[in-house]
Amino acid sequence: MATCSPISRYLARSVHVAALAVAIWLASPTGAWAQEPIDSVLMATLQRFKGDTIYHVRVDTRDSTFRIHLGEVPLLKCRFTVLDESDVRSYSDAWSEKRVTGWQSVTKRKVWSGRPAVSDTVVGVVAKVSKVDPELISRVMPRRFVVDLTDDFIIRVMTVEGAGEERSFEEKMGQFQQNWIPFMRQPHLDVVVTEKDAQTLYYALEPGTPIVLIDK
Amino acid sequence: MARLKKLLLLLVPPLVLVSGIAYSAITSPKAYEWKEPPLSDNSLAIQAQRKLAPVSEDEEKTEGKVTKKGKKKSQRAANFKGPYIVIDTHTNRIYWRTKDEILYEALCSTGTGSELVDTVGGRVWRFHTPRGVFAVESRATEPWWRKPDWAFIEEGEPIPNNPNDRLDSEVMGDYAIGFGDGFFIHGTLYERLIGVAATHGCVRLAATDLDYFYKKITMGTPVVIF
Repeated sequence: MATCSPISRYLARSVHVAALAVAIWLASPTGAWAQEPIDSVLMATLQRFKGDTIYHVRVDTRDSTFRIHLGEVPLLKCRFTVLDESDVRSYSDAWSEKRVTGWQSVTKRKVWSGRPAVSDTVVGVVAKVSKVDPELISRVMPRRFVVDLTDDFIIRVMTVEGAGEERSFEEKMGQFQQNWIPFMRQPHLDVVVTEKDAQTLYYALEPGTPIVLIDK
Repeated sequence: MARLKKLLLLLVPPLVLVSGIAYSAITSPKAYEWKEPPLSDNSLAIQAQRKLAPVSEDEEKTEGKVTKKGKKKSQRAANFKGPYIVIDTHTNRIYWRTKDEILYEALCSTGTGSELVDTVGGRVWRFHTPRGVFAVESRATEPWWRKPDWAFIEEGEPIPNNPNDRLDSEVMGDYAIGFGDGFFIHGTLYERLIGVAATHGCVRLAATDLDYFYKKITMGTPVVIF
């Protein structure tokens, strides 16, 4: 899994912010900020999914659920608890500012902490019976992971069990950036889910999966 | 001079500390090494992105034709007015649900995603459980398995000429629910392996769960696999 170093990310983000500032400055006199209401964009997005079998995940902040859908057909629902309610507002605001298509896509997933979902013994037996590489069939039960979306949005998912585990250096650095360095701060949503839902979500949020935010 | 030394003493340690942190951030291995699971060829996320990506008019026409022709009978037949089956291949779980609620949940086993190459004939098989929307096309009690070529190649056995030598009455359990293209939801001799990706593409269930699903489904019941 390729990751950028914090310094290069900082530089990239600084350039990005500077470019954004210039763009804001250029655009503001023309009144290009007038945007249509969020509901119409969301409706257009859902309309586009309707009748088609596009696999996507809806983040519904109204009843705090991740809804995995195939077109209009609900597949699974995972309830979450938000760690900081004010994050939801700022996340929604940032989402509506960036909206061009109405959805974001998963770009990558990073697991900070997890444990094997199936014991090594069982994996070994299955690998022998099925004559396959054990790595293909082993799965992990993630306890803390982060999902990167397009436009720098992130969703950090944690289980109650994972909350007490020691944080990795990379996670500490990420948290430090989020809390202390304004230029590197990304719109984030920190949520707590059950261990089973964490596993479902982690694998469901494959890179490329479209994400729709349904706002309060 | 003494002042300069003092100044250096004040400045250098924080500088060393900061550069050390920066250096370790770049070079140190991750505290928790993680191997991203490979995306399978039939990933729904990839399909979704392909559909959402803007395409030229020509491409759209071609794609439309392919989709229309390529769409399986079982995929067209699915309608979601009643309950339907959802299979999560990532966590090896199967659900019987309506649009509003989950009525039953069980562990299952889905495809390993492995590949088998016939070194003699050059044929390649990929053991994925297909993803997408399907519908129940057949129901059978006490099913027999007609072993395909790969089953013999995998075991290193010669492919029999007599069709009767391909039949196996033991391995599929009490019922088989077909959802198209030779894929079935069926039972297994190895129930303790349920919950792990262990099959050649079919979906295996424990006997009690298979019994439940067999009694609930009808011809045309939608089967959604992701």
